[in-house]
Amino acid sequence: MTSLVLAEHEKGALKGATLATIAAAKALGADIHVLVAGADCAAVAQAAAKVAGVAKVLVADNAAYDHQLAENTALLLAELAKNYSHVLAPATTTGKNVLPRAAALRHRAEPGCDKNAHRARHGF
Amino acid sequence: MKILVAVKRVADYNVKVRPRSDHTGPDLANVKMAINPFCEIAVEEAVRLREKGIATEVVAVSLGPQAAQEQIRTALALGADRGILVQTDVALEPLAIAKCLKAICDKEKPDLVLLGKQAIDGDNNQTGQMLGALTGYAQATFASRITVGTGSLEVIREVDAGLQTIAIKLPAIVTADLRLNEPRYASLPNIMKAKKKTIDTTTPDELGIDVTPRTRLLKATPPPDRKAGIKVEDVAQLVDKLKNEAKVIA
Repeated sequence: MTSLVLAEHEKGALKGATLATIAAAKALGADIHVLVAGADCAAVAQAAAKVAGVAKVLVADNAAYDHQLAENTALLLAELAKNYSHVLAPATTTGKNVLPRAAALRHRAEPGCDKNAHRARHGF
Repeated sequence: MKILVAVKRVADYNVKVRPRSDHTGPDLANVKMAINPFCEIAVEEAVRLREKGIATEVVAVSLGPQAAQEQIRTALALGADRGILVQTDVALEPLAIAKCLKAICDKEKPDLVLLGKQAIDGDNNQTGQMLGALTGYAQATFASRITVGTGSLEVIREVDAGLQTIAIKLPAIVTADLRLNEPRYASLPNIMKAKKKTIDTTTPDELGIDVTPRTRLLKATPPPDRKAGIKVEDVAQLVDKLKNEAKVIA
């Protein structure tokens, strides 16, 4: 059982809401992987790797994920979600923009298997 | 441009909703129902685009019990051209709603789908995004301004840190935030005219969609009562209480 946390970042810095989401993922008791999607986001990935409790950081560094717009990020998240028991994103406007889209994509890909698209949003 | 706008029947925002005494959910017996305020904003925006000559037709869709026709009538009175009701007595979840709307989109082929960003009953904030995923349309959530270009939209979104302007291709999904516009009041002549407009009724079964709920509501409870405050004698006592009881200062 592993949780995937979608990191939210801006201008090369990890946003605080991501840390709250990682804390929420800890409460689920599973291993925690963090997905950093964006353009030129190597520094963010480094920062995410230093957060306590994070076992692995996945980096998707491509212009397609610039500004973390929902369309492309949701595709990526839905594809990766296959390997995880829980997917979490911060309850910010970015997280709320991406996560439901990814959840519905997941469902379209594999009807009856939306355990992976489990919606665990924590507003701290 | 054809616009599809989704409206939800919810408890009126002025009503103070209480959980049922057995905690099985909100008590909606004899409660005044209305159109969800964010959906109303979406309808208003669609009607304004229609009045500007940008949109050619505005179709209002609702999903729910037979009584949800009232909310479609409200949308028609505000200026929508016709309505579609997907009738079901099942408590619908966002994914089920999005699937039904996807089926309607396949039939109606709208250029723009306008929805409220969230409903004031479930506060899910998911349907628009899910519809975006199922249809593959671009999405702009939390819209506070929409400018229509040729084959595209420029949308100002209300994000946590301020405003974000994005350009998206049509067909697209846009979900309305509070400041997109201020909905009008329906005039009496328009309310009368709305009674003559057509509402087509269909069901999830006819659309070939399984709307069985996937989540279960375990318990609904009111927020805990707030305890009464106390008066302190002097500053020293206040500081003492803040330090030792509330532990907010060290």
